[in-house]
Amino acid sequence: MLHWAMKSLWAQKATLAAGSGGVAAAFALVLLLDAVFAGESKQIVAYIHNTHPDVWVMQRGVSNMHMATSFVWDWKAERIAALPEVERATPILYLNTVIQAGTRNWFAYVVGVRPGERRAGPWSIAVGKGTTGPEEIVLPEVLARVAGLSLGDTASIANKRFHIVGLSRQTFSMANSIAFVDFDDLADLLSARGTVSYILVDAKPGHDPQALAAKITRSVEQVSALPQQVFRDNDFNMAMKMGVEIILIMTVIGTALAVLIVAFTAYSMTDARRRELALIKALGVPNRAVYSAVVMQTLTLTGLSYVMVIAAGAILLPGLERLVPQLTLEVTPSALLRVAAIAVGGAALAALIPAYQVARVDPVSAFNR
Amino acid sequence: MDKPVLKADHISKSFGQGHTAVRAVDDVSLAVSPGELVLIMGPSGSGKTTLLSMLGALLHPDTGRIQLGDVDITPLNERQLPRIRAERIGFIFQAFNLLDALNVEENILFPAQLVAGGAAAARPRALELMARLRLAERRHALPRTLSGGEKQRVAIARALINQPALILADEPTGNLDSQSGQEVMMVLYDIARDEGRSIIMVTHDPRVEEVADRVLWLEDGRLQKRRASPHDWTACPVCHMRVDINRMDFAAEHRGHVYRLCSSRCRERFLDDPDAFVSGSIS
Ligand SMILES: Nc1ncnc2c1ncn2[C@@H]1O[C@H](COP(=O)(O)OP(=O)(O)O)[C@@H](O)[C@H]1O
Ligand SMILES: [Mg+2]
Repeated sequence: MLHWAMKSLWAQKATLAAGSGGVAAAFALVLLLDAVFAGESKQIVAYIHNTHPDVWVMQRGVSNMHMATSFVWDWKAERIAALPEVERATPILYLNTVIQAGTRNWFAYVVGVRPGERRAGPWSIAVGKGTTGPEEIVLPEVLARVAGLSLGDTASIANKRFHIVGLSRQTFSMANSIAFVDFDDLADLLSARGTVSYILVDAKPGHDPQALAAKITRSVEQVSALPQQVFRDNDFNMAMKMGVEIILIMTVIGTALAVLIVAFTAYSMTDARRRELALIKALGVPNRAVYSAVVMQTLTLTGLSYVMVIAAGAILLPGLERLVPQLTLEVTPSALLRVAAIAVGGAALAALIPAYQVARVDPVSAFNR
Repeated sequence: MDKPVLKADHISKSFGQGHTAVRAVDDVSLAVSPGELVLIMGPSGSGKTTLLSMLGALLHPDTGRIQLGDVDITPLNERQLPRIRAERIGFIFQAFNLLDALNVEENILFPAQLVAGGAAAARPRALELMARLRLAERRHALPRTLSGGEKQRVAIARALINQPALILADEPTGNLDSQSGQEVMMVLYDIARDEGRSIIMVTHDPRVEEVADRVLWLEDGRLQKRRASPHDWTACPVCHMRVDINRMDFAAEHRGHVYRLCSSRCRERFLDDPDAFVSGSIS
């Protein structure tokens, strides 16, 4: 039976190709959207991820970085640095704002770094230098390219002009690029002399970040201290949450589309084989065997689509990222799993229509000439 | 007499309701012995296919009882009947009904997967049947590459693969030219006789009558005494073979007169130049 079902499916190659192509497109839609959001979310935590201190210290009540504001008296950084478990404590100023570069505005994290400080600055430099003096800025390489800017050009933050002295890698995202400026310049912009936003704390070897964070929260008043992993997850989950509804809607649409296409394909394939169905029923194939053959066919269809979309993704995604550098795509295992579940569930759902057709085929009609 | 392979008692079947109801089969009783070849003849619409469907456990009679071997199939439901069909009955259809995607051997073996033993156990028998039906060369061919006669020989092998006691054939030569028809008929008859299988065959082919054990005449859903009228037969104007006057499959009209031809081939030849065949002939 299975042999016949598969051979029949294969014999209707054109329908099979059109159907699984359509379903693959629906799957691609779901995966692509998810990949865009996951990619963006990953970029949102790029700074946290790449600087990678053991503990983050911030104003009490603040627990993340994205869209957050945090001010801590600067002397607290010295207090923390003096703790016996602490190797070093690096303060930064931070502002979530827009940068005017070229003819456009760009959402960005602007990070103010103390002169000569490399610990909290850009981690990978494409051109120029990685540290900034007064009125200097390091921009993402991709942003500069898209904005048509290069070293020596200027960009503005709140009408203050900065000269581009370096271009950094892995710092661009459509929602959140990362720019680096001089600490005091940013303090002036924020009118916040004497304060810092976050303190990146590195523990001495052998000290647990969790315990250190707890100790800092206890011993330094009015601050929160979070281990790297917790801090990063807070931001990542927040970013993903912004996409969750639209991803859900897209998943529903993609699923509906896939089910419709599979159902229609299976319908036309079954319709074309009504005569053969009548025959096999007449020969003594029980209905449930015919149903399972139909389900196997729809499963094969969605399975094929799944393989197609994965293969297409593996081939096209790297090229797409090179072609559109603004785009950061991240295909997550959870998205792949979700689409796999759609493939299986959709196949079962879509099989209802051909199953209905099968049930209606009268084996007596095999006698028709 | 041996215990019958098939026994039908007073079976009837109607289609539709009220005054549009058609009594397709009306109180038919018959018994078929092992090895017997029974022909069912009768005009179109007389209920032959409906009768065959009921005897083949494909259609429930409205009334009456059908016994296949030692099993009374009348009370069985749609979950139980498929197995009975697979194990006990071989079907041969007018339209051949091969599975397009499967090759000759796979088509023949298809019913074997529905019975104990499965296709693997039936393979030697399939090879033997293919040899006997001159299909060995075409073993891996797909149905669309076969001639009509070859297709029907594959269908015969398929009907025989599970060694059913009873074979039901509905106009098996209806879609074949008379030569292939003759050949198919003879090979089916030979094998069935050698293996002791019973056949119930609906046919218009007068030549089978010569070898049939019994001919039943169905008219208006009832088994009737056949009208022994000389008008039952006419001669094919092309080849002069006997043709049933009730058979309109290959009829052709010429100068207001209907001629009954024996086959599509004769019909084509007739239509090419009717006058070459009708002069002097009476029909
Ligand atoms: N499924 C059906 N529904 C309604 N009428 C039917 C059906 N099958 C057969 N009939 C009617 O029953 C009668 C006998 O048909 P059938 O058994 O096919 O005759 P035959 O095979 O002798 O030509 C015809 O009048 C036909 O129209
Ligand atoms: Mg008929």
